[in-house]
Amino acid sequence: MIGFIIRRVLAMIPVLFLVALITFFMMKQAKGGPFDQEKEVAPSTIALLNRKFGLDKPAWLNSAEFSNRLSTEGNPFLALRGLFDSQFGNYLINAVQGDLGPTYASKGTETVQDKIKETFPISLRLGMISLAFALLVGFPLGILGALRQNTIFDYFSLIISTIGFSVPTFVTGLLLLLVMSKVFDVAPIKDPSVWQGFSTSYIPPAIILGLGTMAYITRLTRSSVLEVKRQDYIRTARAKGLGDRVVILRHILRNSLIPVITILGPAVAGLVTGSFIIESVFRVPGIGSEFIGAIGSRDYSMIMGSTLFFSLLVALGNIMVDLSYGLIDPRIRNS
Amino acid sequence: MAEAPLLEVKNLQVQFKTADGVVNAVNNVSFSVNRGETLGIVGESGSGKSVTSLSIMRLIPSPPGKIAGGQILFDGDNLVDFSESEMRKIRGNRISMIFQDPMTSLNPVLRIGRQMTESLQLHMGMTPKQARNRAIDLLSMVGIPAPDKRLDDFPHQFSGGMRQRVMIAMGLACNPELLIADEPTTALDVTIQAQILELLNRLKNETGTAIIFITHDLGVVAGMTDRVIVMYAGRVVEQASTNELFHNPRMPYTIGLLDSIPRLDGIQTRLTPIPGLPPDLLEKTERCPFAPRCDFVQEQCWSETPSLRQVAPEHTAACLFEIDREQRQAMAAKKIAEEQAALDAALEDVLAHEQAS
Repeated sequence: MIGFIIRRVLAMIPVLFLVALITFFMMKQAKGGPFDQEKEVAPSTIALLNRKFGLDKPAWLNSAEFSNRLSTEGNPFLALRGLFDSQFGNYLINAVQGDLGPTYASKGTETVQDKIKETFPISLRLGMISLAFALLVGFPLGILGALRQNTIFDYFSLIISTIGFSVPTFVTGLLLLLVMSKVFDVAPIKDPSVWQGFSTSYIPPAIILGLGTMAYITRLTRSSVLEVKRQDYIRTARAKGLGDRVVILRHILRNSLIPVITILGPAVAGLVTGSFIIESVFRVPGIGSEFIGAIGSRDYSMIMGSTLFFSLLVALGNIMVDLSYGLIDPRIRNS
Repeated sequence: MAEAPLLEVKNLQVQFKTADGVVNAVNNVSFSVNRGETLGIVGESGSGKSVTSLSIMRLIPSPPGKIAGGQILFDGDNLVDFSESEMRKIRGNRISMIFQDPMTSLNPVLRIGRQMTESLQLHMGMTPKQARNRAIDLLSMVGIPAPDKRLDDFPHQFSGGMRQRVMIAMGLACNPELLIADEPTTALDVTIQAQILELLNRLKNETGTAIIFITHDLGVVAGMTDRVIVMYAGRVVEQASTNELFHNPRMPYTIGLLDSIPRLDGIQTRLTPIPGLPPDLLEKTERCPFAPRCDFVQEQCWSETPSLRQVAPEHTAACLFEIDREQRQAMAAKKIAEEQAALDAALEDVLAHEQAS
């Protein structure tokens, strides 16, 4: 078990490295830079800013610095540091030490990790509440649909999940805002301070955010329960004279959880990393809008930082899923 | 046989609604099982033997399936009229069932012990501790070594034969009066089959449980059962004691089945299979269902569904004519001779041609 976790954590290293590599490459391919403004900025200013943030160095490998150091020090191993005195190299070396760099948008007064620390807890809380909503509604709805197949309950669950799947969040979000303010006369747009700590303000955006996941869980649970329901061992359980409740709770549910758990890892990562649309509609100061904003303003370190952070979350989510497989299915535990 | 039979099935009718119409999976089936007796039900796939047994347990998937008529008298009570909750008190308790495929018939995520004790706690009101002890006894009874340790294992840690032993132990947990074994050895290796059959025979003698043994394997029937019914296309077509059926089969289908088994004593060297396929149960016409495949088919077979009639003491068969095994064998021998003669004639013809040219 411990060995398994260590192996999986070590396997994350090459994954994160590849993510950083690809992100950096794509970012560099995009035209423009972090200091471009609507009106012309003096080239000397840009040059100074670039030097301040190390953007004047080569993007990948600094061979000039390498040969420079090699000639002064003579030791090729120490000179290697010079080879990596590049934008990418310095970024990686700092990132490993927990420093994701300054945000260019703040002109270097704020670091990326500060920004994540400030906005991620809000997105995390929002994501957890929406996950709870998706599970607490989606799972029972799917079970109900499967157990009462082709009845009014099944169609009800189908309608709810189809809506959740197909109506985009900017529509459902705005509709919810409209209903809250016009019909119930509640002000849905809150003072930014309410987002610190749990509050009821989280509920409306969490419902909208969790709608898609809820719909997916509902459909997946339904088909999974239907599949398990006609297995031979369910017939065996009925042949033992067990009642419906025991057959469902003890024999059907645990077996039908397995496919649902598979999607939970990516789903959790997707929910806690925030959504630009929902954060805009409900004015939530979360990490999703920071990320989207960073792309627009070519805020290199913010793009790199949040992409790496999201990848880390997805990887961790998948490890959690693999661990919970073992809890549910003994066949996986032993292998 | 003064005692009333344990189970009496009378004119059972089971239908399945499908997209193409109503399928009569079981048609007017009647038979009985006495206490402590082993009855074999033989037939090919789709002959209605499994549906019959599931009907006794009232486990027909419904919809689309439905018991459309008849009675299932178990110890005097008609199970067809029982409510679902009354039925639950019978299942696993007084009648239990073991299924064909032990690889899929056990729940993969529950320990064997849990799966065995749940019916004990439910029907016999045992505490978890008592049930566990009883489960250990049952496992050692079916020949599983170190039963107290194996109880905490999961099904995937057992081999196929061992799983079927667990299934049998589960079936016998509450000392049922009737055990329905639906092709319990079909999915197993031949050597394991023999072990499982031996085990069932031993347990039958020890516990006195009546068994309905469903199989398509006549060899298994010969070693296991007291009486046999042969099913074809949802009907009972022959019913006799095992001995009588093997020595004096009277329905052409049974005769065909027996002629399809290789013999070890070398009397017959060539197997004569039954040509064709079983009929489509959707069509409902008045004729002998076996007529299209029968070697002895006559005009009358196409217009009348034969019902079971007495052909010997304690022996009924659903054939309009007096046909026995010698006739089919003579017929087969004649056919072989004719084929040989035709072949010879053709050869001679070829030779004659060659000589002429």
